[in-house]
Amino acid sequence: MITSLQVRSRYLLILVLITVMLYYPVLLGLCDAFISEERGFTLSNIQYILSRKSIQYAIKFTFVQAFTSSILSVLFGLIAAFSLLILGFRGANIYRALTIIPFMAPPMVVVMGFTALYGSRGILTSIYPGFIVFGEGFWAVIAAHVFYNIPLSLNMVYAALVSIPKNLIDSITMFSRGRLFFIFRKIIIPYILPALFSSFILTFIYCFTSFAIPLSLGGVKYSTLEVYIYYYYKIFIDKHKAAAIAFTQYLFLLAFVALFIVLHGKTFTAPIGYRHYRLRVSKKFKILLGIYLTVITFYLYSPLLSIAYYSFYNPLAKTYGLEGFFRIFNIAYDQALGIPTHFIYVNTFYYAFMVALLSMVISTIIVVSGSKITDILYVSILAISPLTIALGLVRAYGSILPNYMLIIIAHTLASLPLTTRVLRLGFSRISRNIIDAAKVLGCKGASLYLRVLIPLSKPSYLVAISLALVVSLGEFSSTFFIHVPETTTLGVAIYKYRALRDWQASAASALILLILTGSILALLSRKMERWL
Amino acid sequence: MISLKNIVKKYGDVIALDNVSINIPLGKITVILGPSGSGKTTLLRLIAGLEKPDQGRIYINDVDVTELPPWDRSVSMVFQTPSLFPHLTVEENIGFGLEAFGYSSAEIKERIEWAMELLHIGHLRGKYPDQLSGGEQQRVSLARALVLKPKILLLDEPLSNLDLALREELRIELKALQRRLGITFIYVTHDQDEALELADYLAILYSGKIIEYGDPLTIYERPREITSAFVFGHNIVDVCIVDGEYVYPWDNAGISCNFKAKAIIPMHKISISKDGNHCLVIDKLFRRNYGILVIKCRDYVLRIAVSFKELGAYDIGEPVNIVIDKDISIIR
Repeated sequence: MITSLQVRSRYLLILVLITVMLYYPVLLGLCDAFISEERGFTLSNIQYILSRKSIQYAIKFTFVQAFTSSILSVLFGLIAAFSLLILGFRGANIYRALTIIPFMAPPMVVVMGFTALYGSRGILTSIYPGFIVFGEGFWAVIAAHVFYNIPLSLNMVYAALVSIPKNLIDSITMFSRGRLFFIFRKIIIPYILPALFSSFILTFIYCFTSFAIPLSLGGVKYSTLEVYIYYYYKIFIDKHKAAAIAFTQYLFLLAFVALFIVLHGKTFTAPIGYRHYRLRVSKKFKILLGIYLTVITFYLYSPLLSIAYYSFYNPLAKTYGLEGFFRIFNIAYDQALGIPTHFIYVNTFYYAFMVALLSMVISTIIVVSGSKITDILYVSILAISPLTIALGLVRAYGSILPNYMLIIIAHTLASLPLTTRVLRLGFSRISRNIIDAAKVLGCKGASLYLRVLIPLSKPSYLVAISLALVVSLGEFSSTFFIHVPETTTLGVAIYKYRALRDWQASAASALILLILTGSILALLSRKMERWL
Repeated sequence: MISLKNIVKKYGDVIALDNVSINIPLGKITVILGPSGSGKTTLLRLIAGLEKPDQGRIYINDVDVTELPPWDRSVSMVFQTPSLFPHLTVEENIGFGLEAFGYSSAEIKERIEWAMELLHIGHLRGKYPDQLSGGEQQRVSLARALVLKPKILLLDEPLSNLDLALREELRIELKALQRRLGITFIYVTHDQDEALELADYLAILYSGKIIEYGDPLTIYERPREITSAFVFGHNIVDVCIVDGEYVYPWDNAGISCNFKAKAIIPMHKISISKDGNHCLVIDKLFRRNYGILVIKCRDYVLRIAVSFKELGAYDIGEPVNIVIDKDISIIR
């Protein structure tokens, strides 16, 4: 049996780990908001940033863009989920699973995708110039956020729709005359309302802390608070004001996360299999839904596909070729980026490998320690923006740890909510009888985990490792904040190629990153279906 | 008349219904009795239109309804679990179907009142399903189905999740309700007592096939199939027939015969006495309203329904004699 001492020591170990990796650096980083070099404790930093017109505008913009993005994502996702359900084709589950590719696409890949499709020299812009609104500025930020979050609301709503118990579906069929909007109004909307709210708030939180997209597509005018943290710390070299912005943002985030916690308990996990609703839907309506789903599919995958086109196409010379790929290995870029190109790849893979390893060890300890810790960790990381974490890590350990270790810690923190969730689900699906049988046969403590639980959780480890790899390969926010030229990763390099206006090199690098992350996700999409 | 003709329904490789044909009369209670997995619920769902058969046709009053959706069949259904909408009140649950059918609000109100009065649930109107007991939920479910005034009401083991006393109370109410409304009830159950108590007509479904159909008492007392005997828990004994008389294995001293026939003996068709030693009491069982003596006659174990007084009169290990009623089924 596991003694209470063992349980307590595990809790302590996790508490120490998370405190060292997350709470202590973040607290230290945020404390700077209340310290001035001359006067000690002060509120002047907070007063200063709140009185600045640019920050007031950023607060307003952050709210407006997050709200608009969330409303649109939930609306489009809801209709897409409903279309999937009504059209009821056999590949619906695979379709759903594959949406993890856009959902987890690295931010710089998405930025490049939108540039390639809707930018000033984008594929669609060249057909109709009006598409430029999705390539830069306010609507570009919204469009990219909606792109990211449609899969989230689609999956959450779909899971809720198919979680309506079979007997209730029979009741609906028997007593509703198959009247679609009647069923929608009387049953479906009330039933999926918590899932709708949850996906709205989760999307809102993600958009609220968005960094790469407003930084790259919004420009200075459309900067979020997260971008301002970066500006103040890195451009204006004022860590106190940066911390003050981070603190302000943290207060807002806490409120949203609290709301999310209240609603999250009411969300659903999609059961395996398919539930059939018998609805009276006209052929015309079905065709409309089919067209809608086609448009959404195009919207989700066309930016990614256009990267491939853009990597081989030179929009200035209007020629096709591999020059984009050759150029990224050009020595001129070694000098511009301050690191030989091949080291960028070494860094990217090395960090991803270390993050996968660290995440698995920490996630296993967390999961073994109990579900409460997983929840606390999930909520903690959700409430703290990636740049606030990066700021804290640099503030706390910047002078004692090498730069690459800070990046690895930041990536590990970003992947932990996902990996612990996947492992926890994997562990929870092991039959209680098997665990009891192992205990009766004398398997206890660590050996229970090593001989029974971990081997039986192999599929979830595979998924968790893949997710950790994908998160690390694509992470941009904290990496961009922490990195120095020697620790440049592929995501950061894409940003820099883009900043140097070399679209082709940027697209070629984005394509490589997309192939790396996309193939991992596509290979595991069937398995991941269960965790969506 | 509800006619099912050559119905086949498969789920993957599993045949749920295998060439089922049956004619169900209108205005009566027809009970489909069968063990778990025999295909009872599937049969009901096909009549309801919740599923489509792989083969065969379904007719209601000579109209082919096989392709029609449930709402165009004039049927309503009560499910095994009450399946009430958890976010709607009792009143809203009952009125749900009426609203879907587009009745005026005045008519909806009137019909809801009628159904609540019929099922004695007026006091529950503002409550939500999770505030109701199992029995109350099932009454509401029944009201929701009846309020539509269907021609056919399908009941899928509606009482199986209730405790015994409530089950018996509701059975009586259901039968009275059917007599009062004259609606066709098709009732599915695995409970023999329930089946016999409710049925005007009884069908026995076994492994996806209707093996017997007709008057319940006849089927119970003189089943034509061994499987029916299994379903009712009758005694099954090999017999030989000599000069038109049944000879049981424990009675055949000196007679040469091949036991090529089987006697199906309901428990109440055996009488027991102490004047003989053919058999031996090996166990005594209590049921709610009667007792069972388990006796062994040569290699055959038989069960006999007796009164509690008789049950007390016999001891385990005591030699006894039995007499079997002549009015039983013999299957060759």
